[in-house]
Amino acid sequence: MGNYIKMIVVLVGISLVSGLLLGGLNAVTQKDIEENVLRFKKVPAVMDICQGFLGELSNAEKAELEKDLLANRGEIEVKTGEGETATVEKVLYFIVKKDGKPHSIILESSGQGYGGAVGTMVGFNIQTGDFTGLGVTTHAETPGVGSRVTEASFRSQFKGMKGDSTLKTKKDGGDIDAISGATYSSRAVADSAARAMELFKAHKADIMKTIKQ
Amino acid sequence: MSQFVKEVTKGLWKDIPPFRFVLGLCPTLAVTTSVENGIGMGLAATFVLIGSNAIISMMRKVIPDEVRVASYIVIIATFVVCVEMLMKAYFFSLSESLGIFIPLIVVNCIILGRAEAFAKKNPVMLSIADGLGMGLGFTISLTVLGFIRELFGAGTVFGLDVFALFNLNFEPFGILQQAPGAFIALGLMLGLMNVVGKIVDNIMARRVV
Repeated sequence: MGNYIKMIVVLVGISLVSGLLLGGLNAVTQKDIEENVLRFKKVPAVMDICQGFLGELSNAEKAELEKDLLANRGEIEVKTGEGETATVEKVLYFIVKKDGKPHSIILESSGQGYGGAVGTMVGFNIQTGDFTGLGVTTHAETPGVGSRVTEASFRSQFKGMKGDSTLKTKKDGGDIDAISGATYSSRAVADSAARAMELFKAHKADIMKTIKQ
Repeated sequence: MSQFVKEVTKGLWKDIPPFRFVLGLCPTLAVTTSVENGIGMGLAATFVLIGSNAIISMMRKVIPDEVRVASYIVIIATFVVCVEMLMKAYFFSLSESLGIFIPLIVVNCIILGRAEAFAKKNPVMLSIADGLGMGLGFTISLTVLGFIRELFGAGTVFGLDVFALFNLNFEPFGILQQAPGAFIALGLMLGLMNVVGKIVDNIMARRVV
């Protein structure tokens, strides 16, 4: 009997110390990690979308755009659920200007893939409500199979896609060409586009109010 | 002290992983497409090895035998998550290129192997020495393999086009950058190490006589 108690105490002790340690380290590194993800994943994905309607940019123009993007970003608060169970989620957005006028709103979104959430940035034309592009930021899909959703050949179909398209894969009766063998991952991207569209429609007016003249 | 040095140096040639044990091959084959990846992966594994060996050795009289593997895995996993978070926070591009193989250090056989074979029956300082030696050996192996595969597979070292630097015209063997190339390079290195090992042993034997 004493042996069992010892086993339990030791395992609980180790797990407790380990949990506390990781919790502490997470608190220390979280801010740096988020900043890295913003700078090296989200902003490049957004810049990629921007080059779709701004044209190819030189390095100097890219640096200028990056500065502009970091200055023109914000967060919208999205409430899900009712009453006490309601949760508020913050969604990152960027406003991109073309010829000095606001042209696109790019929203962060995500969909459930095969290996967890697939994070995307989805751009919308403010005037027409059509898609201006889509970029994949974070994912844990199978390398070489599901990870192909990050390739331009798949993503480029979102550039200029009509706002009233059915945002499902063709297999599910929608307008999006899935990658064969990567149904789950393609579906995740389609879901993220649909979610972004929903947010864009619901919050467009709020976001427009924040534009600095 | 001499014991400490002995435990460190055995990991550098006599028991150098992964060649001598042929353990931990998954990261060895997968990430060694470049020198930088090899060094990064090796150092990450070294950190985990030293940490887990030290803690496991410290607790070797406390941990009951029946739950030792579960305890070891929790300890190893803690160090791996530490490495993952630190790398993401301070070496972001490296963590991007190593990707899933950082979390997979948890199941690297070398680490659990050293815990079972060494740390659980040796004092703390020696276990740290063992972890350091094995880790450095692993780092060297991965770096050399990464060097060969990057140099001949892509024609670069640390992303620098070395052949162009010396005005040489070289068509890289693209296959070395892919999975079959990893096996070929690893096999050649294993064979070479056996040949060199035999020659060295012969020389040593003659000296003793």
